[in-house]
Amino acid sequence: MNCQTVQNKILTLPDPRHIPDSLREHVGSCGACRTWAELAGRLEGFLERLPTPAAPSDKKAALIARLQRHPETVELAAEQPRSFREFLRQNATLVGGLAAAIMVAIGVWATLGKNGTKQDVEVATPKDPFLEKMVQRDVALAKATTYGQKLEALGGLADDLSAEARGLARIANPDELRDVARWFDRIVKDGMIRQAEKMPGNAMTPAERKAQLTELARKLGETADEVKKATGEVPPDAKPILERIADTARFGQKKLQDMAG
Amino acid sequence: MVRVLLLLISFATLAAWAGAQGPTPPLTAADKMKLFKSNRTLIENLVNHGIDLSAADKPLTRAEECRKTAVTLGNYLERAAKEDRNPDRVAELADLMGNVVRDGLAPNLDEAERTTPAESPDGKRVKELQTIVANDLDNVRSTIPAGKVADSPKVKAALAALTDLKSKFGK
Repeated sequence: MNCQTVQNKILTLPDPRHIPDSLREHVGSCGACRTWAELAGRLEGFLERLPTPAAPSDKKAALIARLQRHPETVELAAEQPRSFREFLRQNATLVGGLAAAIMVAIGVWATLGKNGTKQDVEVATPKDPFLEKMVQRDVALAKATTYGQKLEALGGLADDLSAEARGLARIANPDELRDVARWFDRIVKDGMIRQAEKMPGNAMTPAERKAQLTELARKLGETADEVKKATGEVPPDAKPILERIADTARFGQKKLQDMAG
Repeated sequence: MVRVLLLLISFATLAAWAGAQGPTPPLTAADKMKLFKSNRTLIENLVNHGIDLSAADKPLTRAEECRKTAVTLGNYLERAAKEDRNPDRVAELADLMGNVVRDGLAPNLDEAERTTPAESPDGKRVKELQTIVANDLDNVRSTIPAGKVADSPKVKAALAALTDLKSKFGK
C-alpha cells in the first residue's frame, strides 16, 4: 500500500484517531503517513469541540405553530431548497466532503504531480549511498595508524561489499555481480588477511590480538551465513556468484581464526 | 457553514504540510542499478585505493595514496561535467573529493610535515605534495565548462568548499 492510498483511507475513517490494523503497520513505519494520521486525529478532536450554531429562536415557535394549524400539510423543508445557501446547509456533509477531497487532490498534485512534471524537464540524480560508503571507508583507512584500526576499517569495507552484493543480486547482471565478488575477494585476501599476517607481535597485546582477530573471523562467518541464505532468493545466474562470496568469507574466517590461535 | 469552511481550510493545510514533511524516498531498484552502472569503475578504483591505503605505513605514504584517491574522484568529476553535463553528479563528486582531502590527505600531510626533517628526501616530498594538492584543487574548477553545470548553485557551493580547503596546502 503506498502513502497516497493510506492517506486517502485515513481521511475516510469514521474517526482517524483509531487507525485500523490494516493501516497500522504502514503508519507505524512511515513518518509522513504517521504525521498525516496525527493531524487528521487532531483535526477530528478540534471539530468535535466546535459549538453547534443554535437555531434562530423564532424558527422553533413558527414550526410548532404550523404543525398545530395544519398537521397533515406541513411542507418538508429539505425537499426544495430555496437558495444555494439553503442547498449548502442541507447537504453540508456531502459538499464539505467533496470540497475536502478536491483540496486533498490539489494538495497531492501540488506536491507530487507538479514535481513529476518538473522531473520530466530536469531529472535530479540521487546521490549514491554505496559510493559515499566506499569513500568513507577509504578515509577511515587513511586515518588508521595502527593495525587494529586498519583491520577494523577493512572489515567494514568487506561488510559493505557483501551487503551490496546481496542487494544487487536480484537486479544486477552476472558480470556486475562478479565485479562485487572480486572486490570482496580482494578486500578479504589482500586487505584483511595480509594486514593480519603483517601485524608485528608488539602491535598489540596477545589478548587484544586474539580478541580482534576472533571478532573479525566471527563477522566473516556471519557474512558467509547471510550470503548463503540469500542464494535461495536470487535468480539462478546470481547463485554461483553469491556462493563464491560466501566461500571467500569462510576462507577469511578460517584464516583469521587460525591466526587468533 | 463555519464547520465546512474550517474543514476545507484544515485539510488544505494538512495536505500541503504533510507533503512537505515527507522523508526522502528510498532509492528504487532501478535507481540503485543506474547508480551502480555509473559508478562501477569508480568503485573498483576506490577498492584498490583502499587496499593501497591499508598497506601504507607512514603519514607521507598515506597522504600520497589519499591524493591518488582524490585525483580519481577529480577525473570522474571532470567526466561528469564535460560528458554527462550533470550538476548533481559533479556536486556529489566534488563533496566526496573534499572529504578525502579534508579528512584523509590534509591530516596525514600535516603529520608528515611535523615528523619529517624538512631537508630529508621525504621532507622535500612533503613540500612538493602540498603544492601539487593546491594545484589539484585549482584544476577542479577549471575542468568545469561554462554553462548549466558551472551555474548550478550546488556545484558552486561544492567548488567553494574545495577552494576553502586550498588554504591547508601550498604554505
